[in-house]
Amino acid sequence: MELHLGLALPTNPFFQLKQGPFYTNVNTSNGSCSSGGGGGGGGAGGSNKRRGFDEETRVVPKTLRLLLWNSDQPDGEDDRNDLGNGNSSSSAILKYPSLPLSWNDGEGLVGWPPVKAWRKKPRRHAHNGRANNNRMAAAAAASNSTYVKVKMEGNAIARKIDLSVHGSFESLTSTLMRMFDISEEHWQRSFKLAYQDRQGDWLLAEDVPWRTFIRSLKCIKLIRR
Amino acid sequence: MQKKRAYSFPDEVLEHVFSFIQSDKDRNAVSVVCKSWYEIERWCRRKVFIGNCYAVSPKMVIKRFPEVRSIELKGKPHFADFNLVPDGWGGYVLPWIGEMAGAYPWLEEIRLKRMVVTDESLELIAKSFKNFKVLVLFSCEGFSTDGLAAIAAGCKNLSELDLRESEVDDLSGHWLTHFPETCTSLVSLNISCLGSDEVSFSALERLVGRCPNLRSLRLNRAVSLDKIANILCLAPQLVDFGTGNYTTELRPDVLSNLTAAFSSCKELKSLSGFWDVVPAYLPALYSVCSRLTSLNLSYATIHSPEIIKLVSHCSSLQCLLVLDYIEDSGLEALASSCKDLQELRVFPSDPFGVEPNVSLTEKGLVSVSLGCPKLQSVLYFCRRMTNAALVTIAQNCPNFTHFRLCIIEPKTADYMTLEPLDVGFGAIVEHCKDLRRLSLSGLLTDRVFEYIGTYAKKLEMLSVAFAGDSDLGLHHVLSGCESLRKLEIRDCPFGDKALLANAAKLETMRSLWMSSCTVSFGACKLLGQKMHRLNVEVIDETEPPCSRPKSCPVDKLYVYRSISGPRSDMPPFVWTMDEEGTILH
Repeated sequence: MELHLGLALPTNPFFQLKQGPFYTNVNTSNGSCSSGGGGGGGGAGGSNKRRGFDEETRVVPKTLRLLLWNSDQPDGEDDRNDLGNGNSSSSAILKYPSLPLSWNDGEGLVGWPPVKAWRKKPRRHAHNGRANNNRMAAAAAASNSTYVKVKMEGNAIARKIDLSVHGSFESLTSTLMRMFDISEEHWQRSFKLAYQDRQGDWLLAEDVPWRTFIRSLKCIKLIRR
Repeated sequence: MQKKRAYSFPDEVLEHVFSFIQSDKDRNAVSVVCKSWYEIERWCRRKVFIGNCYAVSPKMVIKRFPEVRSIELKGKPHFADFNLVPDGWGGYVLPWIGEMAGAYPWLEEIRLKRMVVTDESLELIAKSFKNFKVLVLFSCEGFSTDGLAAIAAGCKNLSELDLRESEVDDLSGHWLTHFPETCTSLVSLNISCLGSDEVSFSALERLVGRCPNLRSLRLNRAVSLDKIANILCLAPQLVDFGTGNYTTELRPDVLSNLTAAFSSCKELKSLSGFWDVVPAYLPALYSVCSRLTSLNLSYATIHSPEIIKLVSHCSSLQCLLVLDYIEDSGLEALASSCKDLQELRVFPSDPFGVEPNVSLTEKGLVSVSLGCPKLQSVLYFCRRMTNAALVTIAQNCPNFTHFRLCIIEPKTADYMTLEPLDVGFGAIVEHCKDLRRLSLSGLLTDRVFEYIGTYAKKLEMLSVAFAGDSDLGLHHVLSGCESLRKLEIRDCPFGDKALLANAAKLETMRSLWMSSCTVSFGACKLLGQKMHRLNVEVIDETEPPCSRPKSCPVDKLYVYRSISGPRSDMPPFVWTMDEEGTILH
């Protein structure tokens, strides 16, 4: 129930049209949604601050968190499809699938907070001594973008792909298919997505959730079945 | 009765007078006085700035201004910095270089921002312009070090090569060796964006050593600290220096060499770089700190105590870029040490973390606003804010020209009163009468836009995200902000009504970006049909907008004025609406 309510974004204009029960529920469960819904003017939104707003529900809202619930679902498959390209069909309430939500599965919103790509990489603290190791670490972290190498088995040329624009396996595989000129069926039939993690081990991407994949991967390989 | 007659000056005299008029605005004013002034002015205009490369075609520019020596072009919309504009959208510079190669053989300067530059373009530049001097590629992409090699080898009089924040395909550090031994003209070299681990250091040293006029040098991360002392000793005349990696093994001689090298740079006013800082080496900078006017520590992972130590030596500081490791305590120290501070940018060290990792709040910004009376430009990422703090800041700093606040969690309310932040931002626009740029964040209703429309008469650029309740918000801005040039909006409930009611306004602006709003495809079509001097581009990577009902909201909308009609280089996911209502692709 809570999940539905969290998904009911106040910015959805259709909620301004007084969908009664949803509206009041939104107020009481999530502080931030309420004022967004009505705001200063009168009209459709109403001054929801006075709408039976309990004191104890005034907690700092974590709207974003509620919306990421899909990525933690055990049966991730369906949800990946839904959230793949930011369309909102994942929500039962948002009946208007074309109302775009620029959510990015498992990684929060696309382009938010507004920091440039090369600022996104977590900073490393320098450690003393062992200049060589430092240079290696520096080189590894030195690329100012979120690009990783992709190799296709049997193909000598490695390509590079920017991970920061992808939020799901869907998105990644469709870009890879375009990049290596592989059709959908050919892909299904003959290829698997593998990756090498920071420990140097090779793993199959399909075995892990997107978040884990993104955080631990060093490079990607398309292997033939 | 004697008639007074104004004798017209010979053209050469007027031209000479006009040569003292540099600003574009003034030049434009001169050109509309009368036909002859228009003619004279256009023949002697040497510098052209084009804020949107699709607003006009290269041929048109060349036709009007045949003797240009310096050109500046901007391509992609600002939100491209945050991955909101898909790859391949456009902004290609090659067509421009192609036309200018023939028309402007004496072109000296090219400055580009957010454009796609290819090696082919760079090679063409190197080949076509015999007196080429200045190349600035700000946030550009699409080229590699091979293109840079062509520039280095081909441009005999190169004085400035600035690649700031560009994405370069780093094939090899050896491109630096392509600068001929005869090249001694470099004044400015910024390679800080390069990632290559093998910057040919010896080539760099030789280059620096033979360019006595070098004033600005920004190295990339691959250059380690122990090499810096050498470089500085070769160029003690530097005014602006960007270090590479500020780390190396701890050895006693490195610190003393570095300290000596820095203190020999008597002209040094600006420092940046500082990747991976080892705090033990920061004292090497103390001798130059008191002269510094600009310091960029936004890559430095040092914490508040070290930052405070450094900053307290910088009594002349005017511009500081720093990570939020500085915390409120550091900002307080800044406020007491740096009374000349004009610009402050605080970036988030952990933008995606949900819990705050540092103690940086609204209090830090309030202290700076109190202690630094000359503060004009702020970019501040934080996790909480109050209306009261914003009101205080507005009252302390009525001279703000740029105010960009990013509260990391969307729709965050005033954490004390739980109200929207309308009143706070309202105070900013009301008190800061010269405000030119504003970015909003936090919980905001239509009210904040009413304030903006009412007070922000000099506002030129507004960035909005996750704000407002209805079309009224957008209407306030479009109808009230007289000086508005650029408006970028994401995830707001703004739709057709406000857009169509203010369609004429859009022709007075450079551009409008709206993504994840509720503007329907039908409205976009109508806008494109009615407004012939606007390019209405609908961007959708999932499916063509016409495959859905007209009432469906579009994913992304980019509207800009143009005198050259719809562009011809659109990728498959961009549609433009033309006069007949057909959709061009």
